[in-house]
Amino acid sequence: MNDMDNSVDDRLRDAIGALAVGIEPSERAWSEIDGRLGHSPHRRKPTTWRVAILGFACVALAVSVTAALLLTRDDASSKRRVAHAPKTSIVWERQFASPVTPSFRRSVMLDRSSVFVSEGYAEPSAVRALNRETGATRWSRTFPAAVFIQGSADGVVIVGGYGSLTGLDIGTGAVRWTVDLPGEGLGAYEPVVSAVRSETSAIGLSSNGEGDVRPPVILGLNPTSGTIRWRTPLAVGTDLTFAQPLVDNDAAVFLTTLSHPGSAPSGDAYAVNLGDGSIRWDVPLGGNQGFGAASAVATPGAVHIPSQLGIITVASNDGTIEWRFPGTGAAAVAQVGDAVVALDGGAIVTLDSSDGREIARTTTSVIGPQLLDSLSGGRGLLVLGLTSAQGIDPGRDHPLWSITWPDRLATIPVESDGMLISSTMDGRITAFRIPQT
Amino acid sequence: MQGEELLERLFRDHYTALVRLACLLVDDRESGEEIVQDAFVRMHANLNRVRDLDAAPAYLRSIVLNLARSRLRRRRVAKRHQEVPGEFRASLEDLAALRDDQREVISALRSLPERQQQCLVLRYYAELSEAEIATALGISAGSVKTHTSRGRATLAERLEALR
Repeated sequence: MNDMDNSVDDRLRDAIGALAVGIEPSERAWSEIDGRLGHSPHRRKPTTWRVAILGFACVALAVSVTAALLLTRDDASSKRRVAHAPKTSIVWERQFASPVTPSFRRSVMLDRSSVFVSEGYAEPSAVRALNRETGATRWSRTFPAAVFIQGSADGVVIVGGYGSLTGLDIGTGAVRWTVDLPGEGLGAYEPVVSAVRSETSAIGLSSNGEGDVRPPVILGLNPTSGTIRWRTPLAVGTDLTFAQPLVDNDAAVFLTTLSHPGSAPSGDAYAVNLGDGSIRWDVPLGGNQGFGAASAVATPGAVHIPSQLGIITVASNDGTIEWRFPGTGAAAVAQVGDAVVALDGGAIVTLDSSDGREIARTTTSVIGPQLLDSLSGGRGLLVLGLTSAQGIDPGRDHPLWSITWPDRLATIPVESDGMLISSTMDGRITAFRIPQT
Repeated sequence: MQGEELLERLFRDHYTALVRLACLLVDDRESGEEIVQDAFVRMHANLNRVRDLDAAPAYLRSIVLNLARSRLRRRRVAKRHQEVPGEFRASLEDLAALRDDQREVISALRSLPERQQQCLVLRYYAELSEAEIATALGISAGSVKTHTSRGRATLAERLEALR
């Protein structure tokens, strides 16, 4: 090793050491870890000084825990980790080693018999089909890199990651087809959100890499064969958000945002005709960047789009703007009957879908509500925060049910027929039974 | 030793060093702390797998490294996935009181490929041997040697060019 090497070594040690010394961990670190572990069945052994405090607290807790256990019939050990109102119950819970994904990007899908789970950014990653009623694994398929579930149609689950799209047999997980995106001239693209439908699915792709301003591309693809029928590029300098595309009137509504600040005049909503990929209309959504997961919803003749400018309602046939609700906080909208509901800070506001007039307003105890979603079969409206959710009836003041998770939600919970599936950042997939009102 | 006691001891003895290591790798204090806290939670979930207590710190460090790599990959692949879109996070250099010559070194280090950065940080901050770095990163000792050597050579060139 010569003098120059020694000099570089010394300078590296000196600079890295100086940088490291400046990093002082938060004093709350242990309490934060402890708080997260406190929800685990592997309870910490309390130290002596804690015993008295814990003993007192346990008496109070015992009353409520006993009451909760008496009101539910399922496995008690799993319930201790998730606080929930008596009306919800945990049907099953699975723990996977890999974390799923932040920002509510969808990685869970639910159908009549199975729950499909992808492991987000794990490498290698896996897609699993779980028995909807028991959580038992039906099949599992491993991928060398991260993949996300796009949807299912015609007996095929479409999954995709960086550079590839794959159609899996919904019953066995066998590979039916694969599309090599670089081979299609779409190197560095990955599927983000898709409207997977029979005959033609619209697969939304965005390009990756810092500074990459190539446009998002929507692929029209046959879900049975993987054959590409059409492709539609959107605007340069934009990326797809994580909002699940609304399918309305034979068009899929995709939302975009800026690739980076200033990369395009605005993000837009696009209604892409599923038949031929032509753009039926597009509406600008504001010039800031935001990778939200709130989707547009439809009422007869109208599409209601969450944006930085509030809720924008357009005519579904030509995109003409009909009204706008500014709101505050996260922009989210859901349909309840003929009306739509939107967030206004911590309030849930019911709006007349025809003119945006406020009909009712109620509050939620969900801290920092992010998203709204309609639940099936009269189970109310789902109000979602980062670690909690409530089922509410917008016309009533008290929640129908609520769930609090011990860790942040990794993806938007999915619900059908009273089964709600959540995935949290600690790798847990939990199936809840939620009541019908 | 009970699992919980082991966890507390690991926290007491290694938490600060692990946070510093994670921060150096991801260049973000908040992410660094999150990574190490996540690592402790995972370690807790897998305590029954830890049979050799002496190996526990290395196991924990491996979890931290994997999570840091995952975080970097997530940033690179998915770009801006923070829960607060567009949130600005100051780099560590912005927060630390570094001399100009130290900033030059850190800036040059940041310009290296990710694997080379990791090898150099593990070598010069964590003081790990080539074999230990190989185990921690899940690569061969030969690869560690290559990455370290190339990283150091590139760094030397870039620092020399600044003179």
